[in-house]
Amino acid sequence: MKPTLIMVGADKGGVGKTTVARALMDFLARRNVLARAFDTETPRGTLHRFYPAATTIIDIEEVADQMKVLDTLETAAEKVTIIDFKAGALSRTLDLFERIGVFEVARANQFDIGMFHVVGPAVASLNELQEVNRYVDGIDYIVTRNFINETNFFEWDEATYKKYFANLNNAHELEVPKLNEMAYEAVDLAGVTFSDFGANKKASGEKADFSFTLRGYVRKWLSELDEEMEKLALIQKILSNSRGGGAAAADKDKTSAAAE
Amino acid sequence: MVRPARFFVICADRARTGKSLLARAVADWLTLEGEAPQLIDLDAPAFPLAERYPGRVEAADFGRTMGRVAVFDGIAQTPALTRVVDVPAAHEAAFLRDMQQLGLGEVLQEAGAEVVLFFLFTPTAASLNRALEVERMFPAARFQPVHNAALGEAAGNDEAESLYLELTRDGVVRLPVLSAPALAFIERVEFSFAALMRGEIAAPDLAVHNEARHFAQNLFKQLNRLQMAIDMDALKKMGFV
Repeated sequence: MKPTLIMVGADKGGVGKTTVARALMDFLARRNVLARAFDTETPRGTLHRFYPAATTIIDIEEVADQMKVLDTLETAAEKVTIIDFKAGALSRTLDLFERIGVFEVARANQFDIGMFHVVGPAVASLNELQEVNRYVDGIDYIVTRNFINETNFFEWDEATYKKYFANLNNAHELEVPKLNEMAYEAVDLAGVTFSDFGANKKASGEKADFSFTLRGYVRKWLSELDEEMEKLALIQKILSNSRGGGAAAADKDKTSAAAE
Repeated sequence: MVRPARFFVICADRARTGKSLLARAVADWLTLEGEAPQLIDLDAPAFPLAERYPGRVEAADFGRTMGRVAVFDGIAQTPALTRVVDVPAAHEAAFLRDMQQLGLGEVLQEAGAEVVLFFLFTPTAASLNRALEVERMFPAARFQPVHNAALGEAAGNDEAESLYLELTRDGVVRLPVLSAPALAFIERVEFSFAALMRGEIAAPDLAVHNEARHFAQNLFKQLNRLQMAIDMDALKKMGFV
């Protein structure tokens, strides 16, 4: 299976980058796709809290950490690598990757690259689209609108967004559906994956005692998310490449948590 | 035969169809059978059932997540309890959608409870269509259309007539028309159908008293018939019929 590098990021903060990375890890785990993640939010990564065994915290500015990611893409057991960029790091890292030839290798078809660019409704976020779009030649560029925490105070102006989106090259869209705010908080407090919460399981795999109602909201949200994810060409490619491809990242987390 | 727990949902897509009246009648019918059903009142902020059935009503604001969690988690935790849920028209769609998505019917049925869904329709094509839609949402539940005669008939409108026939193919519960004085008597806070049938309460006027008793007897007879159909289904499942 050809390796896939997935970048999840945004320069603007507070748009839900880590939530999207979690949703992606969760989706791949449910589809039995082996994935690993790198969390650039040093020293304490949020993604790492939910996927401790599958996630490594790195400083993407450090050459040694860049090597940890890029030099192991082909040799790692997990053929899907996700990098969750901290706020403000996306443009800098894209520029760096362009300079060291990461995109060139991807364009030569040695591995696939996808980028989930998480945007919020603010104009600052929309302005990033053009900035980031110049790097996307040969990669799966997915503009990700995260509605998971949408509130009445935080509305999208559809017309403005459409205008920005129309000017992009080679862009796909993903909408992360809204999840009931109390359900989202409960998953966050429990420190488990969305799937485990829905299945009423602790990180250790033991039966939990989560709210029946909130679990239902999470399960419904997961099924909506699956529908959205499966529309993406990048995801379809990963799924078709990985058929018969081993245990999921979440299982790895469970195994390691159980060992602890 | 020991009856399993029953979970009665009383709903309608429009307000003022007689939902709360039916919820009270069902609760009183169960009381007269010797049960002590729990009532769930979602009609915030007034919670009209709470005043009538002190100590037996769980009141929750279904418009808030906390209220929904309290209601659904409470039901899922004790599914083998007989309950009557009065769903305000404003929350009908959300309640039924959540109930379906959460798989609450399955949770109740796994615990051996019978799920009975009363839908009070108005004789309009939109309402009848909604009733049919709700019936399809819960194929494993007993769906019971309810026609409040005070709301008129579907006659005269071809589409509504045909929908009415489709909806009521397995029978319909009819709420008889009540005169204004009888309705006023029934609406008194101290009134309950159980008290009326036990002779613990009387209307000041004999005609009104008799009308209220006739209404209760008529409705209870229909509920008994419904219960018999539920019992027959249970016997069939057990292989006795």
